[in-house]
Amino acid sequence: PTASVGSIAARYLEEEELRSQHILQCLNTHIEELKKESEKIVRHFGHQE
Amino acid sequence: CDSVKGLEELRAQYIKAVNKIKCDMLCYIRESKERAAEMIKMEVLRERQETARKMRKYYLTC
Repeated sequence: PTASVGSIAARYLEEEELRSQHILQCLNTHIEELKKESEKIVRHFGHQE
Repeated sequence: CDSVKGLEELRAQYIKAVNKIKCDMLCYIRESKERAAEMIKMEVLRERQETARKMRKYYLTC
């Protein structure tokens, strides 16, 4: 039973690794969107002054 | 006045992005907890069945 506990934990962490990669991609997408949108705003309001 | 409008838009955009990040993180943490809980539940159940099986075997042989 002790060995199986280790392998269960290992499998959990393996899946967790994939999930953390996925969340990282999501967060990067949000950051990229913020960069693009804020740049648009800066360009727009920079022109007027 | 235009620069104020621009700042307000930037502020809104920033808050929106942070909120999205927060939502994603909450979701991620919740799912991790649920997965861990499910794993523990399954293992306890399995162990319990194993113990019951051993007990049955033990009492049948003596």
